[in-house]
Amino acid sequence: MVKIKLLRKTLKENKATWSVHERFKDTDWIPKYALGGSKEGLKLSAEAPRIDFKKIIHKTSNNPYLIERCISLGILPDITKKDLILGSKATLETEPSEAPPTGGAGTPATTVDWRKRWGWPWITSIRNQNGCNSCWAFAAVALVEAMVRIEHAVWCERSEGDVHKGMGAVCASTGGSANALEWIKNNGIADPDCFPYTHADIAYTPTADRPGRTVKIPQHTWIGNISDQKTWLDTIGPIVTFFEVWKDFYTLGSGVYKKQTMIDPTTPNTHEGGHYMLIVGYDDNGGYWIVKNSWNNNWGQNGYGLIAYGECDIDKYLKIGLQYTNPDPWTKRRMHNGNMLESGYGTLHRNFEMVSTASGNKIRHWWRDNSTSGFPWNQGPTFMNDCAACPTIIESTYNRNFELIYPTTNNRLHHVFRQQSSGQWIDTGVFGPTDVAGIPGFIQSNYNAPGNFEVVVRTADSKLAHWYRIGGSSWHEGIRFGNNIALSGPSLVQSHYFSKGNFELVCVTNTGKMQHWWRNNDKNMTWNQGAIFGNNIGTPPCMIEGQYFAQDETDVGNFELCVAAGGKVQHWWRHNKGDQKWRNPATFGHDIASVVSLVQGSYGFNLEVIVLRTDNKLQHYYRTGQHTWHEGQIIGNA
Amino acid sequence: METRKIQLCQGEKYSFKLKGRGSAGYSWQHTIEGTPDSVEILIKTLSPKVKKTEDKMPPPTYNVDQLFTLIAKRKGHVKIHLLNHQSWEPKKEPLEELMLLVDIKE
Repeated sequence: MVKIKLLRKTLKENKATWSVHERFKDTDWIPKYALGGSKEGLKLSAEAPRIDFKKIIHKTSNNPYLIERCISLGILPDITKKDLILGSKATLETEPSEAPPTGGAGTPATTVDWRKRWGWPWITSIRNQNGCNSCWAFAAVALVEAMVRIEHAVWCERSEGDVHKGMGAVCASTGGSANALEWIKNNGIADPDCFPYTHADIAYTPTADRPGRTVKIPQHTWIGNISDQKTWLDTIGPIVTFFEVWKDFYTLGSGVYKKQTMIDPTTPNTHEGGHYMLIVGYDDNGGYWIVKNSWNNNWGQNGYGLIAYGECDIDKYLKIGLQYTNPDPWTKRRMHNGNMLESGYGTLHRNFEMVSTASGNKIRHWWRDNSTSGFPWNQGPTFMNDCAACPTIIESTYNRNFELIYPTTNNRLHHVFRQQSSGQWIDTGVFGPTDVAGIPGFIQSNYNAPGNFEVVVRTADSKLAHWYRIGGSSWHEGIRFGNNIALSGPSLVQSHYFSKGNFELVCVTNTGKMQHWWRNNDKNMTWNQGAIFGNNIGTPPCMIEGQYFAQDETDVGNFELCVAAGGKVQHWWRHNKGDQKWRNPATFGHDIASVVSLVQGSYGFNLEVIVLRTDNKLQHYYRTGQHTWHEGQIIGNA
Repeated sequence: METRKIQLCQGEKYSFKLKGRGSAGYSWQHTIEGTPDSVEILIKTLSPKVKKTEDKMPPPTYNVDQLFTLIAKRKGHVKIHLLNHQSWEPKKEPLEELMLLVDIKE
């Protein structure tokens, strides 16, 4: 309720007034339905000025992603996202006689700790710079990773080695985080599989697909005074700081660090150097910053430390913040399946891109501008003429190209990609089995760099056929596996299981049940049968590995699955950190023929579903943080 | 590990620089065996070269080196083991090690 109080005060500060039902006259909070102004008992005034919610909310938090998350988590009222988040003008009643608000809009919270906030972890795992002077690269990368997580609700692992060696640094090189962020602004920052961090002075040799696997960032922000730094931490995210290291800092435990004069009765404390770290929070009650260090997790409190305000010049210099990160497709590849994904396009780098069937066996590109009020869907051109069902789309590390695989009218698979540099859809031809009889699962896997393309599709003999493409070469036939398979869908996932990452798949058998398959990529790459679940399923399932329960960037998240049955959508999930059982907590929607995509995007861990309706229209559904499914827009004809 | 054999007469000094890696959390520690009272050890922090920056802009990372000095006091033999490591990682190999075998004559 605290944030709702802030909202009330902010409204007041904007010289807005409002009217609510009498029973809310003296409450400190306004229930969400009262803010909408449509319930009986609310008096709307034609003279009342329209309120720009974007302007108002940004006074409380200028991080649009954070606002969504607050709404999603129920911290702010759910005044429908589209009205609130991106600047559409909501009609809100005004009433000058409203009592002055209480609370402290514009005042940062007393305590912020991004290690766990609103019940979620936001900071990537502790790293180790080893004996090199590379803390400046580590702090910069930690900032980028944290901001991708906060702004896009996805764990992101970047390589300190990519910026360190990319800048031409050697182990002994000193530097500053601002220079590292400047380099990242110009070159992006890749993942460790593209080029890892090492303390050895090796040559910089990233993989050939580096341009397609970098997080892009804009110019960083210098933040001057302590109050602004706290506000930034509270409303946007972590900040990079410089700090003078003294010898007693090495032995910091769980206490708050204050430099001592003596190490012990006979040994004076000594100055050891200047160091960069990431501030992930603060506590005004204890009077300290919370820092993420890069000295492995045996240092301090599991790699973190508490430093008293002002200590060792921590508040002497400007600190560095970052906003509006643009994550790479490699980071988000597990977060979507089916015919839609979230791309880096748009001001906020989170447009939805969708491909669907169109008349004449064509494919139409749709995209939703998620940086524009009302989230309008736009129709792109149609292309191809042999598409038998909605394609499965990925965004690859080949320059972030969109890659489609679809079943053809001639029972083959067809690969097409959108070349981002030209905007053209390029046909690479048909491949695969000659008896395709299902919707393909399609991923870019951990194998090789660029990662292999992997496809699993049902064939007419009621089996599943695996095909793969290494690099840009031709497609290879893998094995056929399974029996009595009735349906395959966009449900192939490159999971986080084990060191190489298992392949995971769910199909539908002739008994109308779903069956989980997984390939152990650490052992013998054999496909194994997992659980059988569900009943009376007659449509292809769509599955992702999401962010729920993933504690850091290396951790496996839950599998989330949506499938149509009986004209509705069944949502299933598997608790991968728990009993690994499949659960069906919700059934929703109406007139649904099939689920064609499932995405966990930037909207505060919301799940986004596109369905094909029985009237052949595409419709959007989404689940908010309160685990409530909402009916979204009808997009158009498939 | 580098080993240095050093011969000193009473009153003589032997100094060398220990490279600092403080920004990486590495510090120098030493242990002494033999007749410790035959030498005096002085460790002096050298002034770091900190790049000057514009107002309020943070400087680049830097490290503070140390000057390690032995002063021969009386006849004896000492073995001084220096290691550069992260003190909270005792099981890890040190980044750099140095053994001084010091023989002090009258």
